[in-house]
Amino acid sequence: MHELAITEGVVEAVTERLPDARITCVRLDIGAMSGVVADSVRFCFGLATEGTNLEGARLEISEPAALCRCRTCGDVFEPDGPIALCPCGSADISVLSGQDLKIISVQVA
Amino acid sequence: MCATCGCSAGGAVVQLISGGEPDHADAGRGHGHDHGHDLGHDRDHEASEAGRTVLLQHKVLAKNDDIAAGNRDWLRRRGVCLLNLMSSPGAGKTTLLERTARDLVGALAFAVIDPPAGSMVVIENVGNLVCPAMFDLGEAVRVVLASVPEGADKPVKYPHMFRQADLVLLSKADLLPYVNFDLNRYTIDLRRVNPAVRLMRLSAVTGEGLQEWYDWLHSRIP
Repeated sequence: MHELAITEGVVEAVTERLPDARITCVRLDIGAMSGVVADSVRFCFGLATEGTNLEGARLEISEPAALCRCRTCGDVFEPDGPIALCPCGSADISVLSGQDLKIISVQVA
Repeated sequence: MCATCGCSAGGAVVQLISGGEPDHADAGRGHGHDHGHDLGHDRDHEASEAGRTVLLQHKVLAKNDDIAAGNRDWLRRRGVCLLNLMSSPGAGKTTLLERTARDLVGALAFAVIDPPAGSMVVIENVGNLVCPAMFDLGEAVRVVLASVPEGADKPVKYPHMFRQADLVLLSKADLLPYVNFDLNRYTIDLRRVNPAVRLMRLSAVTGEGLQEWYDWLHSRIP
């Protein structure tokens, strides 16, 4: 839903930093708890890059798993799905990683 | 604008992972935005290098987060509480706001433009339980409204939205006797997603629960 705006944000950020370069590949990290659906970004990418210096670029997305710490038992665990529940049963957790949405690198022709 | 290289200070956060300029040590300190200058300078000085990978650590929402931080700072200095009200379409945001504004005339200042100190600004967000969860608007409090007829599965279905709420309003509570809504299940699931969140049930039609909501609003004024 919001992935089109997110993808446009990616294109805009790259274009702003490298306005004269022809970009051949964009590498993104979309964390498992970022709230962004990678497939939707893939779907929007062609449209969002049309007529820009990213047109025709390959999109590589990696989806790092989330890591959470349980405030009840202290364990660090990888949540199973979007609702982070510690194996001990506690829902009182803090998210350590996996919420990031980042452009890691671009390939320039 | 960055005095050293002329890049836009309001722009995105780009961090240097490798490479960069040896004499750029004052970059972060000098202008208070956390970006490296590898891209711009690579472009200027090494533009002919073909097929290279340019490493970034660019947060996609950095621009949005910058604007939100500016809003938050401005509002805090003014002593204004910004409330972000979110729900799915038809859950009753407008009805609740209209009733709230009517009931609190003279008791709590709601401001539209140029908010004075001690007032409250409410953003009635778009009706959607997915997208608004992504975007920080600089608000002090996030209120999620979900109505009884929508069903009790909302916190589980939209955990991103409910995880970041400060307050959840279960609206249209006057319909509880007539629809199949498991309040116990709803409460348990909401706590699984967000153990710290406060839950209020209310009805803008019958007035049930509104006093608690108004008291909460008053408590948020700085």
